[in-house]
Amino acid sequence: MAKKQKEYKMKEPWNWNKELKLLPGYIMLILWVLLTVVMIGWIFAASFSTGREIYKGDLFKFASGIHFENYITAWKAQNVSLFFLNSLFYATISCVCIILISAPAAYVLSRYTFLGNKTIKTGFIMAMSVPAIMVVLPLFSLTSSGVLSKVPGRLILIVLYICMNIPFTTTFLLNFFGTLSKTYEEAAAMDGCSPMKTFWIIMLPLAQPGIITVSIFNFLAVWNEYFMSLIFASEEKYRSVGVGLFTLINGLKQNGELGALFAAVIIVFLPTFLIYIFLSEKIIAGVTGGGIKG
Amino acid sequence: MKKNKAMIICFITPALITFALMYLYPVIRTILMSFFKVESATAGLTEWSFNGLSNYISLFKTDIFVESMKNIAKIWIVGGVAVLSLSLLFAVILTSGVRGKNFFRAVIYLPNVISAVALANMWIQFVFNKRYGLIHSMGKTFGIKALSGLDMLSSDTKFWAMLIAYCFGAVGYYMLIFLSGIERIPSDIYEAATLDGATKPKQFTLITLPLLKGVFKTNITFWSVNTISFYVWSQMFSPVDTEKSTVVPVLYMMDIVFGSKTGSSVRDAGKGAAIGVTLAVLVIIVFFIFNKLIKEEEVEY
Amino acid sequence: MRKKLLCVMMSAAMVATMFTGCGGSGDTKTTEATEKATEKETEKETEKETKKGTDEKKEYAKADGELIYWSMWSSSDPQAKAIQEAVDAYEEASGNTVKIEWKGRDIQKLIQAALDSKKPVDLFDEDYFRVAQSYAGNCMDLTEMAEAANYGEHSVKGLVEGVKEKAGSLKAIAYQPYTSGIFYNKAIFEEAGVEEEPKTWEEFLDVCKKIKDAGYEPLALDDAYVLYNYGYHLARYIGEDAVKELCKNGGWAESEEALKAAQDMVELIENEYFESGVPGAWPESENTVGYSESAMIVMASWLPNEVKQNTGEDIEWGMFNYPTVKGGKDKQTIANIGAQAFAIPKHSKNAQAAFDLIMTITTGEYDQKIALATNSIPADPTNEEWPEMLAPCKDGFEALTGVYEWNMGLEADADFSKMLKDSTLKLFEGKLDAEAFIKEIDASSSK
Repeated sequence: MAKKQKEYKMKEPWNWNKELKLLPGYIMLILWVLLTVVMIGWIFAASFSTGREIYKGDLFKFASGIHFENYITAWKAQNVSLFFLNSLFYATISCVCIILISAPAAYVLSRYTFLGNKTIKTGFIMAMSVPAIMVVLPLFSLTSSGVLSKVPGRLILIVLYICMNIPFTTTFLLNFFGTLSKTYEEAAAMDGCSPMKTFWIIMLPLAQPGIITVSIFNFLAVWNEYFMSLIFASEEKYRSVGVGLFTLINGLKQNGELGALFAAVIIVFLPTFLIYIFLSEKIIAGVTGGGIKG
Repeated sequence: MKKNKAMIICFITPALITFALMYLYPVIRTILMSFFKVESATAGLTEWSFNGLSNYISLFKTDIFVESMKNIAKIWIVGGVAVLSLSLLFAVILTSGVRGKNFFRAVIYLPNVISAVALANMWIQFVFNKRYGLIHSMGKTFGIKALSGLDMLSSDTKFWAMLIAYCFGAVGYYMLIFLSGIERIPSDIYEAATLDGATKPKQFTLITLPLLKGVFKTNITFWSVNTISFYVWSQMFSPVDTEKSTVVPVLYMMDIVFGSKTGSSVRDAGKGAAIGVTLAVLVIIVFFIFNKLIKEEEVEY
Repeated sequence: MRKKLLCVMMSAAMVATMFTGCGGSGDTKTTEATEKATEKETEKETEKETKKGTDEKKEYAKADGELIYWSMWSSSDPQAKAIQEAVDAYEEASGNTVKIEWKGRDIQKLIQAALDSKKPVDLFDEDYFRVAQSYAGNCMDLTEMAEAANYGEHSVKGLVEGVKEKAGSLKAIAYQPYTSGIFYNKAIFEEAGVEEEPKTWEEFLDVCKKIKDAGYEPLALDDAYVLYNYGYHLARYIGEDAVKELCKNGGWAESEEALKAAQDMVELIENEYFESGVPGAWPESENTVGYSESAMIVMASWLPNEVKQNTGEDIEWGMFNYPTVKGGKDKQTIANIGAQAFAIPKHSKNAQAAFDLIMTITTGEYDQKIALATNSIPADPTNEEWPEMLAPCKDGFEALTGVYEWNMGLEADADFSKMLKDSTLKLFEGKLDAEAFIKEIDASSSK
């Protein structure tokens, strides 16, 4: 797919007339990007400087040199690689399960009218607007007594991550399936393909851009999730990046090591950003991938 | 049709089970709790004592809660208009055939993957700081007194400083959703329109906007839900303890459920639950209004 | 939703930030401090060896299974390292094993749920005030065990009384105490020719004038501490109980002292005794003390360490208790103090063992070590050695005859205090004069 894209890019010649028309767009984009780059550049620069320079407002001068040791401080303070592995584990499993559960539900909710359809949709919206502490605390007391207290916290955590993201993901995908042409199903039905099979083989791949977009959101959410992870997997060896590095950030802020704080932020940020870049290529692939044109 | 029934049940049941597992019990409990006097959010039923609507009544008599509702209304309306229009604008520009689309998209989304702690610190220390900040030094360089003397973090303007900082990061997120919607509109529609002599702005109002109705609804729903649960930035901009200028309902709720940071307030989970219910009801009202306003036609392409 | 989740995780960081200002956990240290501490440790080694012989062998209760300790620190905090050392020593001496779960400062969100659902926790620590007020109901009365351990001689009286007053009996053991007052830059005082620390408000104004004349800014103040400043002043006039009464039941418009206190603050502003950026966005203004631009600040004893971390400057600190005011009720020997505290949940089966561990951490040798390693005040008064930067607070602390809560009662009504804070900010920003200020808070309190 990537190859195809490259060819496509190379084929497109520079059309100055066209580019000129787009100029206002370019200007706006470039201004915004410049703003973002300056700001994120500041965070990046801050991760190489000291608290003193950050508070004094002259960190771009690097008067006291470049402080690589901030990264060492941040990395060594806790077992960061373990946190990464844990988070990767939680995020991957839950992202896959979320899609497997949400996509079919979103599909039937958007395609078929049946009793309770509206109620379910509204229920999902309502679920999204319930503040997390109102959900998590009752669940915590529920799971810490009786039979449920024997269930390992990590398992509970993953189940909760899945359940928690279903309303959002389903609502998101609803709209996606809603706009896919019915001709696909009709064509499939004519070929004798059962509706269920049609969904898994034809409709699901067609919704790929939406699925990937929502999975990015889900992945980031689980990766960075703090509160539940704190409550259900608070033992050090099960900690996720959310809790692990953010308690670290707390500590660093508390101890005035602002440089190392920003270094820790960059450490958490890099992998998620790389994943995002990688997946965003896929979105393009999904969009340009074939299908029957309506 | 029979077959479909089986399919509907098969497809929807897992989602419903997760819903029941995660939300049914806590939500019912929260609703019930909002009518009781309960001190701790995890207290057993035996410690609850019924007090009818008084949680709600006393909430709306509390100045600071009313302030928090005002603040969130401002965030929802002002921030919503700003964020949604900016994100739509960027989504449209990005799909108009500019080069380096991937790069631009990635950079605009970037603030979303960076921890809010870092971003807030950046805004406070780097942009708004009245001694060394960006606004201050820009004003100084260009000789604009209004800018160099501006203290965005004073009690009058702090709210707007917070809103700007928050919205800046939020644009990328909604842009991504708009993008995924626009990209699904087949390019032949535009090609046909171009052949018919429709200009770009015309194409936008006549094709893009109507076809984006559903995405708009999604975005408004998400914006509402996110606004309701807004509180981290509020904490960042009011160090030590909740302040009137930046307080939002969820923050106030955390204060009364967990006790405020300085430990002086009395915990009241019943009242906290009442806030939770109020917020959820608000979202549902908004959802219904927009459902009626934006009637989604059966569009397919 | 996504935002919500991101939010939840970030909140933690924020909550911690808040504590810097108020929870009393600002006392931290730099690596140098640890080094210093270890040096001192080795110096003392020989001394200890001889001591050990004479000390009677202490008896430790056996724990049933392992002791579980939920800590408010993160494992990377200097406090954690110091406490870990104490725990190791306890384990060796008692034969019990201790399982520490470093929960970090967000323990505030976990502990109530854990107590309610009777999670296996044998001891935990949290903000002193909150333990005594919020968790006390689920915590054990430690009076008897404390008597047996002769805790009275190893504790700060004001803190013990504070717990008893809030919780009804001794339900928390404080450690890492802080005190408060006016901190100043000694070099500036000398340069301005201030020879004596002011005892009354008039003397204080005099000092301000001298400093101003010498070309320095007399006072710094950050937004996070506006209530603290006004509260200290008001409490000097009418005492903490009366302040609480005002906050709970109103009557601001009738209180002459409330107005007088506000006028005194306005006088400071009008004379330009505050540096120009007041109130700064924390820690903006407090840093100016570190940069030797401003001379004084009303603050708690985590200040010197905080300033050192944020500015990198090592200035020579002086400190005096908040001055008295003319016709005021409270003496200079009353100050806001606080701490962190340990508590034992009622459902713990290892109470005695947990108590022994608490004693190991909060008294004697290890308390001294924690104080030095984290630049905080020793919780055990028999520990004579204070961290160097806190030494100026020692006399004032030992002279105390009474204590204030954080913000001297201005937070008695939590909802009102948030409205009050906004008005107080405006007062210090110069947007409200004293009369308008009183009018505004009277309006919000009468509702």
